[in-house]
Amino acid sequence: MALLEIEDLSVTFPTSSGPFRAVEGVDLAVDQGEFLGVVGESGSGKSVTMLALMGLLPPQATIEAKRLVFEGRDLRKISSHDRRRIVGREIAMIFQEPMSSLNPCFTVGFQIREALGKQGLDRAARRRRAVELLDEVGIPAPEERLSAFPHQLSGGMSQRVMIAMMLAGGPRLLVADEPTTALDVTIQAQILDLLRRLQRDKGMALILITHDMAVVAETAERVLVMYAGQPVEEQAARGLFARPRHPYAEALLEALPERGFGKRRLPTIPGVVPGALDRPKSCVFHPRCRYAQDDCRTVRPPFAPLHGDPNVRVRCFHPRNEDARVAEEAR
Amino acid sequence: MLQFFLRRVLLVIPTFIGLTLVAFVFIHLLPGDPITVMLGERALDPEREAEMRAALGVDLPLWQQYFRYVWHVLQGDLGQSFVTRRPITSEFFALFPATVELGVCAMIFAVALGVPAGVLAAANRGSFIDHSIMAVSLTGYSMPIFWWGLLLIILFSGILGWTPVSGRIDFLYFIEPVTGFMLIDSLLSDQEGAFGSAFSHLVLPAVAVGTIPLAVIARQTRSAMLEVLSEDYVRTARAKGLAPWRVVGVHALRNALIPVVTVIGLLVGTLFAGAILTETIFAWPGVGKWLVDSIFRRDYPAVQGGLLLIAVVVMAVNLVVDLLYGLINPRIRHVR
Ligand SMILES: Nc1ncnc2c1ncn2[C@@H]1O[C@H](COP(=O)(O)OP(=O)(O)OP(=O)(O)O)[C@@H](O)[C@H]1O
Ligand SMILES: [Mg+2]
Repeated sequence: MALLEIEDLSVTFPTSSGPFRAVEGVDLAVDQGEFLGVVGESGSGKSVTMLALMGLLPPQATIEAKRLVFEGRDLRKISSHDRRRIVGREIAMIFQEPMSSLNPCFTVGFQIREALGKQGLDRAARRRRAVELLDEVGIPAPEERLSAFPHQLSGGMSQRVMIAMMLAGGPRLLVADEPTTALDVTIQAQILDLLRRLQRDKGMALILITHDMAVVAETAERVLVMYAGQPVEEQAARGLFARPRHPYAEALLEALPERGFGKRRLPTIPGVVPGALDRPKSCVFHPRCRYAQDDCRTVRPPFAPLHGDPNVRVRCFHPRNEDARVAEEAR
Repeated sequence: MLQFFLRRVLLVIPTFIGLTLVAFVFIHLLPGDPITVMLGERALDPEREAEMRAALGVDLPLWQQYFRYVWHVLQGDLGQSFVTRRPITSEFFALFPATVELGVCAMIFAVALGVPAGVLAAANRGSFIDHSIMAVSLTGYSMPIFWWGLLLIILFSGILGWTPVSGRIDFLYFIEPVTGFMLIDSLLSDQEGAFGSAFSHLVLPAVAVGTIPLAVIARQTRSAMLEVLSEDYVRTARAKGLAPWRVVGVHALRNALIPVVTVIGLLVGTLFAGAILTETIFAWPGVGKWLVDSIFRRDYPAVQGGLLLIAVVVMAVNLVVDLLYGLINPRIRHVR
């Protein structure tokens, strides 16, 4: 059984120009200890999807889903009290801006001990555990850091503290929303290494949200590609990089500098992501798609297993790289 | 922190110079010089008058008079009351505890109701609760104090008969002034019912003085909370699975209090202004009523000295609040 199952999730925000569906038709399953990458351009709904799972969206957001199940518990049915027992302990999340994600008025020690709150530990034990956690995320002199305030920490340190804090509840699933975007390149690599190590050592599932295809290529086992609020492709990372099926995924990969090597100019995807109000009713990518045909302009393709293979799902009538498959089967 | 501390303390000097200048100019703007005012209609032989002028230094050039004045002020000498011939400072400080007691209780009332009201409004933004709290607060803010004070008296003393109309305590009790604060002294006196009487005398004036600060604090708390509630660290607190009261009441409120404390400091001036009117209405024997009485008695040195002392107190409280601001804001505290 999957650890997390999301089926047909949609999130709607009321705006001054009417309701806006920031996210729709998200199907997602994460197994225990699995590393899932979620990629997509800015505004594609990656954060909103995960915040919906965590119950962290503002109250005016409407969340609908056919299934929203974590370890067999239906997150839509349980009370908000029970949900808080899951969020923060079994599911944890770290964010893009580590510096502003820590409360400036409280010490690092306070904020970590607070996360250890309901585990029935006494003061001394909580302090000891906080030091262990800081040590585990690679913070030097953890004892001394306990009394530090967030503004005394660098961005990388802050993100480590965030990770330590979120590990406090021993989560089964950690959602990392662009955890390195705000950090220096060298620090980025360290944080990613840390996350990967923790995921492996603790057998914890990890959802890593990123803009960066290269990061996903190096780390994730499986990848979900999102575009304009919808998942458009999902398959094993290896498969995706060898044979992207959705034209958008293909274009993202072509835009990688490594792949563009030798060409005179980096290929970019022409056009822009549709805004809140000009999302087509049919395929959302068709206005920018080189391969769009009539059906793409009139009907929305389903997010469906490709050729009956549940491990590869694509939202496209005319998936790419079919020849390769034919060739493979012929062999 | 030390630097912040020193800089803030040094700022007191120009403020003080400004205050003394205003107070000095105030007395010199009055028609005639103090001697003429003091003598009033009475005629005096010119020789005696010149003598008095020399004694008071009124014959010196203005700037010398100013320095003389500041020199006296720095030594705590604000002159004498025309009426009682007692030093202004001793008159002022004899009555000051009554005003402090009123002001402190008014502020406790304002903070104890204003902060929760602001938090409640912000946490239920846009709801009926929010709108009601803000409407009540706007009403409170716009209420003229003398009118509001009279309304309170009419309702609670007149119609309901719950509270006395004036003074600090019932005439039945004789309270030895130990601290000067009637609530404490009445407790110390061990007389049955004394504390209750002191308290019931204090409630209405404290509410009257505290109403505007209450409204300001509620609005300030609300807007600070709204700002803070959309911060990333509040989302983090919720992501930790903390209970809503802890997210709002600890993580958000702790940050929202920083601007609120500043506002509380600024309200001390408002408090005095309110006390002047309220003490007059409730015959509360504090410095506010004394100041008004002095004005009616044309006791210029008392008015001048009283205003200067009030200004100094306001300045001192603001200084303390600013230093407190440094203490509750870790980002300032840790700047060397
Ligand atoms: N509270 C909100 N109210 C209205 N619209 C919102 C709200 N939060 C997000 N959105 C909209 O939802 C869409 C998806 O946003 P989301 O933050 O999930 O994108 P993202 O994929 O995480 O992008 P990025 O890579 O920039 O983080 C955006 O168009 C955004 O404007
Ligand atoms: Mg995002």
